[in-house]
Amino acid sequence: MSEKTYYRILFAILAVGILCLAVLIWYTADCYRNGSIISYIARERW
Amino acid sequence: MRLWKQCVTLILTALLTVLFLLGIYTVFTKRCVDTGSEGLKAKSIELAAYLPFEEGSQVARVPSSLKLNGDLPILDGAAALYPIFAAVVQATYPEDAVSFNGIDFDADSALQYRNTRGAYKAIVDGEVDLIFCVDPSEDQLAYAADNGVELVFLPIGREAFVFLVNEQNPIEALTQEQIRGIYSGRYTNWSQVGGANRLIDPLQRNAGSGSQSQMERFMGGEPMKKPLFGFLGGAIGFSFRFYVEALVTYGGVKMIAVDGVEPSAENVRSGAYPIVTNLYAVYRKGDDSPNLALLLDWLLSEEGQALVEATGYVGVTK
Repeated sequence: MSEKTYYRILFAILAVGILCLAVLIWYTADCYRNGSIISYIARERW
Repeated sequence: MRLWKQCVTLILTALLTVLFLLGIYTVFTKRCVDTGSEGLKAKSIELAAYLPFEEGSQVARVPSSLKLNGDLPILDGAAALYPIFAAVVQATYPEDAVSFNGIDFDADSALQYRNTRGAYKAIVDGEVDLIFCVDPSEDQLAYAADNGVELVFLPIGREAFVFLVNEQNPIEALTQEQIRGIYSGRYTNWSQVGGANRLIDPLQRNAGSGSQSQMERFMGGEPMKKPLFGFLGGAIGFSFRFYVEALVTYGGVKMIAVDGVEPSAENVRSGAYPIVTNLYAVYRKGDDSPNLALLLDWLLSEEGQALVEATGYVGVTK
């Protein structure tokens, strides 16, 4: 495996991971915001 | 050998990446972790706190000349109204009518709790006989019509529909126009409505929940928008006064005045608070159960209305 290929795979792993993370955070927050408005507001930081 | 080392490095890198991202996920969703009890997580309200016939229960106890026996109407309803229908059972049902397993009511219990969406479905399906809810959604009315069921809505009390923000949010009051503007996307920053320079995160509930249906009515047909990056801003939400004040004890939130009027019981009673909704006892038209008729009459009697007031809501006959 050339060094170039190695870093491409590394970059792909990171990119997919970060994308999944962003979707997961958005989905979790959206589900929770819909279901539990009051505790969501209570935990907000100002 | 070199390839083998590269593969091992990649696998280790992938594992470390996953662990790192999971850490970030935990930090960013910390706000979403509910630290309530199992009962609260499962049902969104502590059923045991208002359990009838239990020592130490907060259920309202009022004298009642009506004591039902025989074929008892099965009661259900919304979370916000659970203290009312639990108190109705306490006042008018025999003690053995309620069976609770610590998290939920058993199938043979005359007191049930499915929250608004479940309760409207259950009354149409004939699984329960009387539900305590606010106005239904269009879908819930359509479900009844599709099943050939006509529902009767008997107003038994009134309640303020309230808007809430974090207690650190400097905003104390909004007009109805500003609230509609926030939810329709006309105002996206708190500074546009007299607050701090921060994005507004207008929260909504699941379709069919009592408060969501009420919010749709309040918007008067104007569509509500969810800003993509709303979760980065300061939130505003909606609920019912007593639910926020007494049933959910998270703290950290405050109800704001609407058109300059605080959402207090006194202001609901006097009519000063501008967004008031009816609390209904809902039953199937044509249900000729004698106990149901007795119970409906009792709910509008002095005793029944005293129960509504003792629970913390505002009656309809004053």
